[in-house]
Amino acid sequence: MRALIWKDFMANRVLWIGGLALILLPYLLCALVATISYKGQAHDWWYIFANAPGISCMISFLVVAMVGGVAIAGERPDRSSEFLAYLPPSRAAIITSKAMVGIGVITVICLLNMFALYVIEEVKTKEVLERMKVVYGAICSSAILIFGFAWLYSSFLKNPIYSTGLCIATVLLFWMLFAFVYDTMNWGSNHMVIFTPLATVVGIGAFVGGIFSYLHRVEP
Amino acid sequence: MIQATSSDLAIELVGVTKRYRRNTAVRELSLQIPKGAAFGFIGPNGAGKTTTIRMIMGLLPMTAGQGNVLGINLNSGQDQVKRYVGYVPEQHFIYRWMRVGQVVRFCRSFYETWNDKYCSELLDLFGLDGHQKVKHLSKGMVTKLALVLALAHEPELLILDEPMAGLDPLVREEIVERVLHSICERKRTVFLSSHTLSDVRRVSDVIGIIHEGQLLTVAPTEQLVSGTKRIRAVLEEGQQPKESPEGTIWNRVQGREWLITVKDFTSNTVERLRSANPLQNIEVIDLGLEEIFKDYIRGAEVAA
Repeated sequence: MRALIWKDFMANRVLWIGGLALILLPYLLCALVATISYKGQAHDWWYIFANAPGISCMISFLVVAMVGGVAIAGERPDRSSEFLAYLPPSRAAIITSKAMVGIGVITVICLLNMFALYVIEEVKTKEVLERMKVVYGAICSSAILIFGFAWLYSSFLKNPIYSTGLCIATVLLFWMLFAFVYDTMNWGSNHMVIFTPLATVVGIGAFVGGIFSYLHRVEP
Repeated sequence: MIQATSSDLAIELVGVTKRYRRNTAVRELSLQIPKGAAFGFIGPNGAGKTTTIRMIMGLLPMTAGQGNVLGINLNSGQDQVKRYVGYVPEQHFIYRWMRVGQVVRFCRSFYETWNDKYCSELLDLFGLDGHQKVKHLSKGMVTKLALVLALAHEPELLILDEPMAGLDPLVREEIVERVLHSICERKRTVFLSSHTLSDVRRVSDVIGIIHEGQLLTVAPTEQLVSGTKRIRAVLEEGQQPKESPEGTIWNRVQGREWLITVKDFTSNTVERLRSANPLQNIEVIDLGLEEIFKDYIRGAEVAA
């Protein structure tokens, strides 16, 4: 299993490094813009810099979609999945390793965003922390939803670009559908109370579906 | 052809069939390969060689039939089979981003029987540098690396599916001479599928010919080559052949010339042919494996 995890981590190391750079880029750019437009008031600088987590979060979702998209389909364009198929590890071991690496990476991404928000929102009171919990829930459930769909598509599509693209389209559709139903049904003010568990359940369902699809697929 | 008990067999297939929707890739194939044998598997493109190999490897489920590889049932122990089998496919998809040393270490972790000393010897023999990236290796060098990976865990069964395709004659010679012969000497079972019939002839003890998913023949190499003859008969003026000899694989009449390829040829074959047909002249011609192979295929196509 260690060898498989090493392989899955190393095979996409460019994505991990590039994704991390993309996630950190908004902080750097916001800090740069804030410094250039700094007029002597500390809160002005902080006000501009506080835009970074939101932008970073959106980029993170894109990175999560790519992580899920390449997880399985990433080995199909160069047909290295065939080389792996000739080796003794079972498909269950192969998928477990991919899941561990994928889940590990999105956990790091979520924690990174949550930590940045914690620092920037200056969580000092209970009220702020309660408000942040809702935001944290939205970030994590969205990440699970995106990863789940990307993983599902990755399990049967031949190219990670297709799985990532289809995942983004599906998640956008899910968000739009949720917003439409939410507005139509008039469910009240805190839509995150519904969105967070729903997105989590759907995301986990897609992830399990991806595992099932991979295990029952004859490859190559 | 070969009488052996299950425990003596490296590969045992009984009535194996593989269907893809309406297309039948392999049709009721039965085959027994004893442990320690070198089996040559030949057939035209699309004959079902790779499908058969993939079923033997446990990569592809059978539509019907039973299979045992090294005593492991293919319907229940597909993953187990790969631990004891070394496989070199026609095309190599080894991780291009890895270095040779990394590929070796990666594969080593999956085999309990991995022999580091033998692996180093093979790497040295083939001039493979552990620091080289796979993507920088030539096609021949990648094939050599694939062979190292297939051999270093000292498999009981080595399956080679067109391993020499696209390689220059020098590399091919090196692989056949240095590697395959040494494997055969170690009494490991070799299953070689190839279009290069000269290599098959040199390596194999037993040869099987497959066409359109059906096994046409399985015979010891020497018996196949020495026992298959072409008879060139000249018919008497205005006469037609009346009866083909027993064991006819393929025959063709062109004018007065009648060409017949027969298996299990004996001196009686000529006598019987002469007595049953109005012939002026008979000539018996020795055939090479390539001609024998072609005649089996032609005969099967005519029969179909």
